[in-house]
Amino acid sequence: MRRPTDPHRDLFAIRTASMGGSEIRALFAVLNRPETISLAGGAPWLGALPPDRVADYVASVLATDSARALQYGPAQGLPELRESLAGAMALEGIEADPRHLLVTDGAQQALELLAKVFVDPGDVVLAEAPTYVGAIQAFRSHQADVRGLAMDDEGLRVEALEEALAALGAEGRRAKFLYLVPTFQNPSGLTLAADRREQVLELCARHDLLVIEDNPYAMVRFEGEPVQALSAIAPDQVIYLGTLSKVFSPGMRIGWIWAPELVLRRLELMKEAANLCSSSFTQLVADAYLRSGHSQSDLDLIRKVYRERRDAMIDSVAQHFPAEAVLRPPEGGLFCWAELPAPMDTKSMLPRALEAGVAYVPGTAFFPEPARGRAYMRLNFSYPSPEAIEEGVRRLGVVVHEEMELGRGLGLS
Amino acid sequence: MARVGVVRGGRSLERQFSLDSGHNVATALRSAGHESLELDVDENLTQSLRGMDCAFVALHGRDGEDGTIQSVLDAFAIPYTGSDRLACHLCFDKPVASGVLRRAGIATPDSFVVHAEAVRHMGAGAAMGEAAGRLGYPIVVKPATQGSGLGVGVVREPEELPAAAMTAFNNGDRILLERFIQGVELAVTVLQEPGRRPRALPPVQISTEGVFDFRARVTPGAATYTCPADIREELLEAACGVAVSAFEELGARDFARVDLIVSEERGAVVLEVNPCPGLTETSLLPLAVRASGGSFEDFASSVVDAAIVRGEAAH
Repeated sequence: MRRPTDPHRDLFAIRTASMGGSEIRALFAVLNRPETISLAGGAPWLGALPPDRVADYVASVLATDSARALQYGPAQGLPELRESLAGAMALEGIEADPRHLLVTDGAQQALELLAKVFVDPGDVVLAEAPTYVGAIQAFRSHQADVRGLAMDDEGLRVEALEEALAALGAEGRRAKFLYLVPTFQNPSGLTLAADRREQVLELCARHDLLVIEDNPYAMVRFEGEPVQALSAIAPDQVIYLGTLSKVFSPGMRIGWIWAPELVLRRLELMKEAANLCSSSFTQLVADAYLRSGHSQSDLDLIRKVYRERRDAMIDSVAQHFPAEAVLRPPEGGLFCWAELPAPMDTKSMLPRALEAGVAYVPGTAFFPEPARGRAYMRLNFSYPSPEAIEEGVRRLGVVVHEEMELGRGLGLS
Repeated sequence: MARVGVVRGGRSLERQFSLDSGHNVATALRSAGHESLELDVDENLTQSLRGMDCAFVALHGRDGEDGTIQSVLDAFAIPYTGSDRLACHLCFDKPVASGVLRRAGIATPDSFVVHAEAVRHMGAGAAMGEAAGRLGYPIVVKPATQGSGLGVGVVREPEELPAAAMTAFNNGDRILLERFIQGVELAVTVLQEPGRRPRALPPVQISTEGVFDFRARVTPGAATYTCPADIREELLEAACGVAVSAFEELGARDFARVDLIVSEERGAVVLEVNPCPGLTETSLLPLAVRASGGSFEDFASSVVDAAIVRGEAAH
């Protein structure tokens, strides 16, 4: 019998057809080779958190609360952790009622649950372009039509949002929500300017457009003045996503959603369907950490280290990249976003860089529309040491120059 | 029972495939009663392999298919699976392999080679369009020495050529501009048991939108594999015959996968011969082995046995 060799081929749900991005992942198998320097990751530096101290939190949880730590917990998350998380939000000027928080397995699960609650196949979701690749994946896995909005140095361009809303109006449609990472955005490192925040919220209010504020990086500010969170400015318009991944440990998988009561109840049902509850054990360990009094001093150390690493990256790029390359120094977060002169194509260039022993993430990964973002690359400075950053950027500089020379020979520039 | 070092992973961009291939091979060898150890490319590799009865080379691309590890294994008289260093060298270099096959009367696509150095220093980039024009569009642009469809593109219009050439050059310093052959893409596994002529297993037909490149290989659902292939029996037989001839002409050994395009007009045209093709659970060679009624465990085990017998004979 002649038949396709995959017996499940006709059984897969349509939504699986929209899942892409395997190409870069497959190439990145070389990242665990000792000769490769990765500027591609998104992992935080964990040096501020000595393992002994984590062992103490774990021991205290098991000594005092093992029956709950090792048991199922409520789908919404443990009440004391929700209280601590609301306390963390208060530091950013957001007054959140712990009863309106839902604990998730990292903020990534929050994105998945929001998509489950709000997105039907074909629904439009608006986002900055570029935007967090994990959000694009989560929304697309529910067959959202993700539309990217242009940004400039001050973050999302208000006119781009206006135009998108007008275009949707002309189609007789509305967007389900606007997804924003307004502070030290992944990947661009850009922060939505204070006055723009007001304008965006005002425009969204006028169009009755729900805003999702994904806020993993605001606490990791090492320079400049804090900008008020969207959730602090207009709490009634915004659903807030938080995470402990960048300030404590991504291995604990603790994220959360702050949403109005009626939204929260639906999210809670979806959370139950997804995994019943987040780990009681890691919730209690995270809570012990937040109540230990160490988190502020740990954060100060993280900020100091990230600032040094950001500086190492900026200095190295200035030294090794062509003069036409553009890199805006971020005042916080984990990433630099470099723009190379046209017609450079960072996705095409990636194999050359990997062969040269350095990795980055091509800009195309962060745009919902195919073929956009070719001139950009995301460079991570939180994880590699300053020495690795310097050497990695040096290697990348050689690759970029080779590419430009070859491009000239091919008539590309 | 033999102690087998399965070499997998490595430095090439096909590392993920190789890790998966190696793991699949090591698991199969264990089920067949061998002791298998998965080894990566590092400074201890040669020493680790010297303690083995046999090396199973499951390294794709650089180091594994270009003759590098085979040279090491030859130097230390360690028996190993698959083709020897010369055959690997020939197969890995697509323009060389194509030239050898053509001399033997086996059809391959018309092609030109362009060196990055010639683009940088001899103005070859400007003349590339003319060469492509002589082949006639559409053309396939690919790196001369890369696997898994990395850097491969189809160019339909002259203005697409420079970007496609750049993508190919990003995967190697020499590229091939090849006439695009319309037809059905087949992967034919060729096996050679000791003392026998090589034989072809049932061809696997590859269906994909556009070219069967790296993206199509790693994106779930982007390619469909059908085995046996859904084409006329005579064409299938012709493809199998050509695949066996290509295997022999390049001096391949034990096993290889021959990629071809077949059509009523042109018969079977060989694209390349892979001396260390994918051996993962979903790879084409294991598919063909299963389709022929065999098991992957028996395949892996018989290849190891053949290598050990060769080693003993050499002593």
